[in-house]
Amino acid sequence: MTRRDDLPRWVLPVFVVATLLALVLGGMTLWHALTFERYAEGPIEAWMTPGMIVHVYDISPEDMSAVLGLPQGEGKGKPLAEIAKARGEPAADLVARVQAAVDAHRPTAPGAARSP
Amino acid sequence: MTDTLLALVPQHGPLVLFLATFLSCLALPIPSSILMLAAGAFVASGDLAAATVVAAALGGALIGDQAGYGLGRVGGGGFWQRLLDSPRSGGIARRAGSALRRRVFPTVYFSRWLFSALGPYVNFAAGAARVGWPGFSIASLLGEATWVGLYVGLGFLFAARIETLGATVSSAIGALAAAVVALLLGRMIWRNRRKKAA
Repeated sequence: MTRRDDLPRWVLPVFVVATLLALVLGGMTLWHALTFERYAEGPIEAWMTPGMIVHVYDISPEDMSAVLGLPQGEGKGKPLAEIAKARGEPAADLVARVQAAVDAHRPTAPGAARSP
Repeated sequence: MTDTLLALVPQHGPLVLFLATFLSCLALPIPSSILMLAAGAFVASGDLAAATVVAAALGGALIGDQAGYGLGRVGGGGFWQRLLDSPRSGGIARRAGSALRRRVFPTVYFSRWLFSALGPYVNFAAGAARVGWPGFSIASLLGEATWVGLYVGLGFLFAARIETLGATVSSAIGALAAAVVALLLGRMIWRNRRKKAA
């Protein structure tokens, strides 16, 4: 027998779950926000394009073209995975080469050199 | 799966964004936030044009909202009536429907971007509760424009950190949606207890 002033049975469990979720996700948000500055650029990923890598990481377009072995401007708008596939090269190998070049060209890297 | 979708953004950006925002407005688990952040980063790097990115994401979201509202309007009437007729849920459904009609603009506008996890359900409920179409559509347009502008803009500004930013924003949106549900249900439980005690 249900009374009109009774709440539906689902209200209390949903309230408890929503409260717990809000606390957990709120804590995660706070942690992400507090550590945001610590995470500079992440590692190079296969979905990134040469243009994005030049824009985000401290590497010149000329150095990027040299690493890719492509004339400058070629490969624009294509992710590294696609460039590697077109050459029959595993994407992971190309990503590793680009990562090594980016690391070598960081201003803080020992012996870092930039193209003029 | 996210990496595969991200790799599609620079090559098929407008189509991917259109489908992602459309499907996410129908409550399908598509990482549309991270895709829009990535699209903003690809605009910053010159791989994509800002106008096509914004137009595609906004177009998908608006059509998705209209589809959700239409589904609620056409197919949700029976479901809504059953809720209204139910002895336990009838009171809540009546109050929710009346609150939605009274505050259609803030409810629809803020559920597009600030409480976006609730957006698809608001679309369906608005259609099922016969909320006026013009009011819904204006709030949807402004809310989705805010959502798309915010995410593409953040991706443009923080191109180097879109993955960290995506994780932060996703957890913040989940926390806000859960907090809103907890607050509304908490208020309902509190009022019910007071009524019984009186």
